[in-house]
Amino acid sequence: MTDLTLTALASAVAAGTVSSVEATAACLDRIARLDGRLRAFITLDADGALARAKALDADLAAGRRRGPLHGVPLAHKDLCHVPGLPTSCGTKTAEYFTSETECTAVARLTAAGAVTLGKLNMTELALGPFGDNPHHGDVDNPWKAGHVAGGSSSGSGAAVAAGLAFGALGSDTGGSIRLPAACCGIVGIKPTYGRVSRAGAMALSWSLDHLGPMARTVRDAALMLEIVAGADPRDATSSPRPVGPLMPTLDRLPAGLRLGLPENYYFDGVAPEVRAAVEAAAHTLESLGARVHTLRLPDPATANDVANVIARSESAAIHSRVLRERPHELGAAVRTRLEVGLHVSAHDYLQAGRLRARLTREFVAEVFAEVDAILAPAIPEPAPVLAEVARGPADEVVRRMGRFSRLTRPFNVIGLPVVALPCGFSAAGLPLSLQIVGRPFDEGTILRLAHAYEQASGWYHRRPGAE
Amino acid sequence: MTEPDSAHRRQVQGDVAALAGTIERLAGDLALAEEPSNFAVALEAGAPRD
Repeated sequence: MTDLTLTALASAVAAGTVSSVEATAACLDRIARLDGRLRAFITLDADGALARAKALDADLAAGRRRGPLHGVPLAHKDLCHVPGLPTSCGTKTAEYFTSETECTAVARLTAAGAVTLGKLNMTELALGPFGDNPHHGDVDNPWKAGHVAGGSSSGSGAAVAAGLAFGALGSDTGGSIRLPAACCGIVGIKPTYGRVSRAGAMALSWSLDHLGPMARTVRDAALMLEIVAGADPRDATSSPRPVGPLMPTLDRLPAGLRLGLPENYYFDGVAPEVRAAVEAAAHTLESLGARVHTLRLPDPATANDVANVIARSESAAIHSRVLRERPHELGAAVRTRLEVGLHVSAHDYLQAGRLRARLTREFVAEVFAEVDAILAPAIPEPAPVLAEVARGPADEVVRRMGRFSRLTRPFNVIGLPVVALPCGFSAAGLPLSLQIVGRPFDEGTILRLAHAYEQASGWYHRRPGAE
Repeated sequence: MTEPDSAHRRQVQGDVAALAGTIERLAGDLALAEEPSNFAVALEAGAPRD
């Protein structure tokens, strides 16, 4: 049963061929068998999930369907506040983060009928792209033991890829949804900044944080996004722009859409098999009627520099208390990254904010005059061996982190919507991943492209042999 | 102060100086009218027409 996609399970529950209790029990059984190796969960709420599933089955029997996710088991990154469950944010402290009200995105999924299985492992304080965690264990890659699961939403990536949950929420400040989606061979959406409320989720950087869905197929992720997106009075940065339905246009072929392959930056130093897979994806989309041409992007390295100043300053402000009072509780690389932010001047922080505004305006005007979407790799190489990248002197680890996330981070600065999805496998059997980047608030177009590519390529049929 | 503490502090100071230098170079020609909130304006202006 855990081989079903989220949307297939939702249909089966609605049709009465599968109960929510059966689906939830199947996930719990799989977690019991596989999570000893994967370490995807920090908190498992088996009793709560089964009780909720039982109540949902009773509702359905009485003719009450809560919504499109009725009875579907999900799990969420352990920085989303869910009443009754602790929120460690990947730290040593079980209740590191609390909120007066439930994470809005989780609440919307729950209102749509979802079951919450528990809270998922993550890089400490969401600071790091590899998925290692000194307090809760390193999340393992479902495709190949010992390789990184990607971070910081590492548990979300591994749990969904291995069939422990049908979908998950992640957060993305510099790639933290797309990197684990890429390493684990699933779909991750970083929506437009402001599209999904951040209320009730621990902030790492107010200016760069995005919440978004992670799932096995584009259709699954699109359904989750449709549910969680939209204005929220509890998040002042959420956009009042109406969210159109995403599902009805998903099956429209991308004929006539103009796609850009970057000439600069995005293929510099990437593994040859990554380049080949992204170029092959472009050819596939071309065969479906899209028009692909190369283009030069406004220098993404500048966006990365701006991201560094903003993210370091804001994360240091948010976590200054633990940094000053209990620094010994933090991992060395996390502490090093936070410490830099304590010393960035207000002048530089404000200049970075002004630069961000100019970069965004220029990028949107220049690039989207030429194309409707951009294609780029999500990770520069297949998931590396954890022991080779996450160990050693902290400053060296921090440099490796920057290199691994250099293809995702620029789009956090300029706030554009991005979907990351599988585009092949390396010779060693690890997933490769494509980013499709669109205009602000145009999630519909990138999801349509992603769905068309996914259906044509068929990569989503391949599942990890996590057992 | 121990030797590792001192080396660590130099590393942090070096990283901060590098960030400051980069921002100084990039921000040299910012328009007077530019302000951080223009970011949200740019996103809204760049959205597809309904």
